Amino acid sequence: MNSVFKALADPTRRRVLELLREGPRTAGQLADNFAVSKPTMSAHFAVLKAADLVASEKLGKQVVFRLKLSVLEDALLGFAGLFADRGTSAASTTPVETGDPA
Amino acid sequence: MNTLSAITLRTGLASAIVFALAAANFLAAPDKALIWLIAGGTMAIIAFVTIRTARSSAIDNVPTQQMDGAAIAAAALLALALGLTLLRGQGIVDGETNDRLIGIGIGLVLASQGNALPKTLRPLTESRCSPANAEKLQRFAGWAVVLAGLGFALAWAVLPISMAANGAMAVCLIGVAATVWRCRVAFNA
Repeated sequence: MNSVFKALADPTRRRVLELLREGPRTAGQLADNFAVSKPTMSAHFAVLKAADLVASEKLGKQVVFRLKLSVLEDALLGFAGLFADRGTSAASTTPVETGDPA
Repeated sequence: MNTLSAITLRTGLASAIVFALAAANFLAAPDKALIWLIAGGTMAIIAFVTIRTARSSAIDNVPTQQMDGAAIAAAALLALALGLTLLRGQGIVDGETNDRLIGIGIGLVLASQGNALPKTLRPLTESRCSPANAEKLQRFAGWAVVLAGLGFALAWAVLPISMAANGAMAVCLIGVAATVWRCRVAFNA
C-alpha cells in the first residue's frame, strides 16, 4: 500500500492515471501531455507499474499502458486529486520534473 | 518447486481447509447440511477452475490470485459460521445476532471481491467492445459490486431483522441491474 501512496503523491503520475481513465494509451501519447524528458517519463511509468496501478502491453512496436486500479485505489486517486494543491496539480503545463520522480 | 506445483499445492491446501471447515460446520449444525454441501461444492469448482487456469496459462497469475482470494473469503465465512454456531450452542449469541453477523460477513466479502474486479485485465485484443469501453465497464462493475456489498452489510447491520434479508437482497439486485444495464450500453456502443 506504501507504493500506492508514493505513486499517487506525485501530480504528474496522477495526471497520467487521469489520462488513462479515458482508455489505453501508448507511452508516446502519454508523454506528449507533459513537458518532461523521456527518461523522467519512463521513471514515472516505472513507479506506477511497481505500485500495480497500470499495466503495459506490447502491441507491435508500441507499448500500450492501461489503468489497473482497484475500487479502493480509484477512490484514493479521486481524493488525492480533490485535496491536492491546484497550483501544483497542473503538471501538464509546468515542466517541473527534472530529477528523480520518486 | 515450479509455479504450477506451487499453485496446485496452495489451492489444494485452501480447498482442504474449506472442506474441513464445511465438515465442522455440518457436525455443529446438521440441520443446515444443504448450505455446507453448497459451500463444499463451490470450493471444489473453485479448486478445479484454478488448477485448470494455472495449467492453461502460466503467464498471467491474476486469475489464480483471484481464486486464492475467493478461497480465503470462503474459508473466512465458514470459520465465522462455525464460530457463531458454537457460540450459539453455548447461549452466548442469539439467533438474530448470528444472522446479522453472517449477513455482514457476506456483504464485506462481496465488497472485497468487487474491489479487485477492475484489476483483472484481459489482453487488449480480446475485448468484446472497444478497450476504453471495456475498462470503463469493468470499473463500473467493480464500484457496483463494492457498493452492493457494503449496502448488503449495512442492511443486515441496521434494518429490523424482519426486513434485513429482503433489504439486503434488494440492494444486491440494484447493483446487478445497474451492471447489466451498463454492459448493454458498452456492448451496443
